Amino acid sequence: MTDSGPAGGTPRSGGGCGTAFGLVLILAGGFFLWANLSDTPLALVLLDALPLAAVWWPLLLVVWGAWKLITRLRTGRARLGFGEVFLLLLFILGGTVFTLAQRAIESQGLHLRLVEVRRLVEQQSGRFHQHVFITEQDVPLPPEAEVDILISLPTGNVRVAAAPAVDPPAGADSGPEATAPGLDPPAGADSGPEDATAAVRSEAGPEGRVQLVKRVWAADEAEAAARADAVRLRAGPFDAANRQFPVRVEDSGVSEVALELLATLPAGVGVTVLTEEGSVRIDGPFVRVEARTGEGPVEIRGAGGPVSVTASDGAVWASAIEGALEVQARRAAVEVDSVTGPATVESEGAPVWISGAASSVTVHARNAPVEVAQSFGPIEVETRISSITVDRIGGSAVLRSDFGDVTATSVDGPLRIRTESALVEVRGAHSGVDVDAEGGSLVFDDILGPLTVASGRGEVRASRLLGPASFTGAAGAVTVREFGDTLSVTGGDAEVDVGTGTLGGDVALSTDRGDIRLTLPAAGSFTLSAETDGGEVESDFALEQTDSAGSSRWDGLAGSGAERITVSTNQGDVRVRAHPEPGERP
Amino acid sequence: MKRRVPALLVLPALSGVLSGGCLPGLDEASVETIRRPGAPELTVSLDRGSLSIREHLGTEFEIQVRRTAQALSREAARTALTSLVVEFEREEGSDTLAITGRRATAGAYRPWEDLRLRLEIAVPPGTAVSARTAAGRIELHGLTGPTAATTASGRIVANGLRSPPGTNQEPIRLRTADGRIEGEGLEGSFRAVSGDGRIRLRGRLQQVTALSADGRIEVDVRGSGASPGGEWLLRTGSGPVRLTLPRSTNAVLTAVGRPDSDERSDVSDWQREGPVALATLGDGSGPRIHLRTGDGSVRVRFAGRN
Repeated sequence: MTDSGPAGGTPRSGGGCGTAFGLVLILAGGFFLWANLSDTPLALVLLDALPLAAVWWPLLLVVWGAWKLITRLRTGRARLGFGEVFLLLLFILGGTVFTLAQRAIESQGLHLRLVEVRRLVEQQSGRFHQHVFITEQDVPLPPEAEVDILISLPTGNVRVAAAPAVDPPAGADSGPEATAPGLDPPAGADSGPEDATAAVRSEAGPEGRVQLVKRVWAADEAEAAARADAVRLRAGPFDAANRQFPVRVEDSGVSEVALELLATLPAGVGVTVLTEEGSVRIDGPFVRVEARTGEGPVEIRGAGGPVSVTASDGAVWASAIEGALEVQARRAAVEVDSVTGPATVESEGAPVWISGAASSVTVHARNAPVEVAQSFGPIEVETRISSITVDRIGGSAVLRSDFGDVTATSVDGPLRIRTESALVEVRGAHSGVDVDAEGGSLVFDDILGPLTVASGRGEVRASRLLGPASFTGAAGAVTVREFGDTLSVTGGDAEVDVGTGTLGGDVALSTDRGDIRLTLPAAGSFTLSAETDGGEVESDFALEQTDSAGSSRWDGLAGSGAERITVSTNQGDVRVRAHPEPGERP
Repeated sequence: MKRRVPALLVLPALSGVLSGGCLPGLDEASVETIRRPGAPELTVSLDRGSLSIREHLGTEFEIQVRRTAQALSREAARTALTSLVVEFEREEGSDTLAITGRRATAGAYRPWEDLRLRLEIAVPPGTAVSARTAAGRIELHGLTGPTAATTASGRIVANGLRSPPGTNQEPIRLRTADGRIEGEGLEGSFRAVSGDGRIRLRGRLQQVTALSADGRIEVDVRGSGASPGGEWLLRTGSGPVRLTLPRSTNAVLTAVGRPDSDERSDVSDWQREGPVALATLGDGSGPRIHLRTGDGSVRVRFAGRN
């Protein structure tokens, strides 16, 4: 571990590397210090440096090689370490990529694009100041007419609020309503060139007001104004044929202006808002509402009529809707709270939560769990692989899910469920329940009406059934506890386990293959017939063998024989137990 | 060996610096405190941003607005702060204070800007709170009024929440489309729903519904005076379900999944009936607790003496 270099003042081999590292440190530190003190964005420096680097990077290889040569001449040694080799390879690779990229840019004529990018970076690095311009316009509407206000803008947020229901005195000035919600000018707003836009006032009809806020990034006021000017707010004219009043924001497409449209409109109008990107908020008892945004949340509150929403990548919040609701959402969670009309939701990729629907609810969802609660109309929900949860439903429900779990709690109307393979659970159904499941686990509790279950392959458990119940299954297991009406279980390859403390109707249990276990009230009144082709019959009740022609059939009578019980299996044992068992206290 | 070290260290150090970790002066933040008169109800909706709501002893709302902007330069970040707009609305005669927050530059192409809005709100005791954010975390602390929180993407943290007493009261509702829900020191009835994420609730819980499409569910009922009742449902599409109950609990348990019992304190006497495993705790006179998992184990245990 001794130093292999010559003693005395002779420089050690590799001393050059340390010097180079020191130089790199000084240069890097100086560069970052300069960037910090001058607030210069590195992106700009890189953009400017890239073309130079693409051409001149091999020069560093020359300098490096020269340094090595000098070191060799001075010290007699100049070893190349592993780190240096690695750095060298990386440097050559990076430099080649720079050069190829630069050539591609030149050959493809992408210089202008780079200039645009540079300008964008300059804008976003604060070299261009933000200027705010506000344009306001009145929305004059014809009297006593049903009018739709159609608001459209390329991108940006839209907020619409209902104007206070106060008739302005005749001849009142139509200046900005500073107290109206959402119409306060933003802090730091400049006086834009369109601020002086003349307000048009209707003679007698209701009136609204729209305000367009434009945020512009530009080097100076004049440029900002020019860019803001490229975005125009156009209100009207009224289209009498379609009863429509258009409010359009027209953008030349190159202005790079961030927009917000704030509107205060009379409550009696319909409102349509279209924006490609941005949030939409509509608050008030408008007679119709339609909102569409390509990206951003949509919030609709207190609409007085039908509502239609299309949204992506955000959320849809709809509350206190006095009318029908129609939602199309992609990757946007949908939350609906209180809607009086029919609600229809198509959703993909995000959950749907609906509560307080007074009329029908229809949901088609892909990869989106659905929950409907406290609703009173008929419910229809369809999903593929996501769960369905319904809770406290006053009407009927039709639920379809291929592979998502289905949970229904406290449903007053008829309930119908279709699944491929999932956990299906129904607790507290007050009318009939009809379930068709290819597979999965099925659980039923407290079913007051008729229960019909068709299952392909899977396990079923049902308890506390007050209405007639019928189970048909190809394979699996059926367990029933406490039923008060007729019961029918038909299985292909199934284990059946049925028990009850009271009998309220006939019982018929049959399987092709599988054991049957039946527990009956010890003090019950029934006739019992049990049959098996290939198995044994055991019973706590007195039975008499009546037929032995290839099968084992047993018959018996308990009490007056009020109910008829038949049990049959081709291959399997039959066990009939009394509850409580003989000798047990009831 | 010594000579190789600097060269090997330069690359990661340089990449770390270039990735922005050491670049100073690109963040700007502002904090503003606003007061508004108290109201029985508060609704908050944010396009994007995080939210923290707590109770305080005052009679008015105290709202702290924290804006953070990251941009290519300090000046740009300062300018960007003004793009985060917070508005307050309270119509005359209304019982509701509505707070909305949004990014005013939505749709503008500004890929190098990162704007963050955080509202920290203190409300008078018993205020009904409804909070929504399209993307962002929601934190709720010590609220005692009716509470509902929804986020389309983000975690929900609820600490020390107490649902209003009474059997007819709606449970406290916590929903996230994508994210975890975590609650500590809770009291009363809760409904927690996650589209994708784990749910963990702890406290003197009276009634719980916890639904997750994918993720672990962990409910821990503890504390003196905890009196579970009603119907409970803990369901996840995939993941384990864990429930801890006071030793004195009377309840009927039903489970779909793989009942699991490793320790002495675990409930182990499950009885299988078809797809359902059943167990009765005490005399079974308390809540009916349904535990469901599409793919995972189910474990119920008694809390320790402490």
